[in-house]
Amino acid sequence: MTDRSGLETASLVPVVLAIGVFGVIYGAAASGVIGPVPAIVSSLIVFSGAAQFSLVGLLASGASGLAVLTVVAILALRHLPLGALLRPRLQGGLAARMGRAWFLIDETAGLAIASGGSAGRTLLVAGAFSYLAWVAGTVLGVMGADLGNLESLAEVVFPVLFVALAALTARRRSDTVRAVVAGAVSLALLTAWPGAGALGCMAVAAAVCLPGRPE
Amino acid sequence: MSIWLLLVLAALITYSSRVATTAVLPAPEGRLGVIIERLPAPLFAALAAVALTDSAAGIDDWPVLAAVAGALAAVRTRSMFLILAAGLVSYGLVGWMVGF
Repeated sequence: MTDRSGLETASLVPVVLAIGVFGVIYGAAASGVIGPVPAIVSSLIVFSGAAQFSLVGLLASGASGLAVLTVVAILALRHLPLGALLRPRLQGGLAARMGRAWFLIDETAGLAIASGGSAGRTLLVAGAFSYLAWVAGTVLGVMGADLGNLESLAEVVFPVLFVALAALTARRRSDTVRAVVAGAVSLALLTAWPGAGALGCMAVAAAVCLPGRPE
Repeated sequence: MSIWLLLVLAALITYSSRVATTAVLPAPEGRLGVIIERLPAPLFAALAAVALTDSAAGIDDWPVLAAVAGALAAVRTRSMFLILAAGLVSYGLVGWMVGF
């Protein structure tokens, strides 16, 4: 089933559910550290799993506000390449692009870029559902919802999703080669140095895309 | 710093990073434009590695590896739904076989 944006609607379901599950985990963890209402408000106004989990983890370990914001700023750098990828695909004026930027997370950006239809509409649809799932999950987590073993199932959605996005955005053989190299080098980097994180791996991806010989 | 100020500043930082290249800065051109044009597939492959190593199960967990292998086996379909389904079914099958 494909909607007008070109996004296969059915593919959105596991992604949104996985985001909701992590929302529950976040809500449960955050309410004990920053309180139930700030936990929910953080999901409403930040909408970034990486930033919010780091914020709560750092506060729990006694970090200062400045240290927390520094880490949040470093984590936010990952949005820059994703935004640059989306920019030529988004139609509309500045206000429309600024509105859609709210929904930019790794998963929604990927779905929008891989979409065969309107990237802007896909970003909006996938982003709105992801946002609702994240906030609803946080509320359920704050209320003490029990997930059973859903967490492990949700965790596996993300590597599978990114494999799919890499495959769907590889339009030439050279794209596939670069994707394989970037994936393998990133895996080796993270195994050797887990602190490299997403930013380190994004740097690897950019490095394999450096212009050399023309295609 | 109060928790409310911290949350507002974190929200501002995060949204600023989202809006910067999506809406405010000019579209990349020249050498940077070439990198951006080539970036999607390698970027998502790199993020797959991040997601794989971030998972609590880790990269030495058979069901998780089976999920990735299942997804890779289905990439020729070029269907997001089928790739996701292949990954999740592989995860379930191998998880059932090894008793999670």
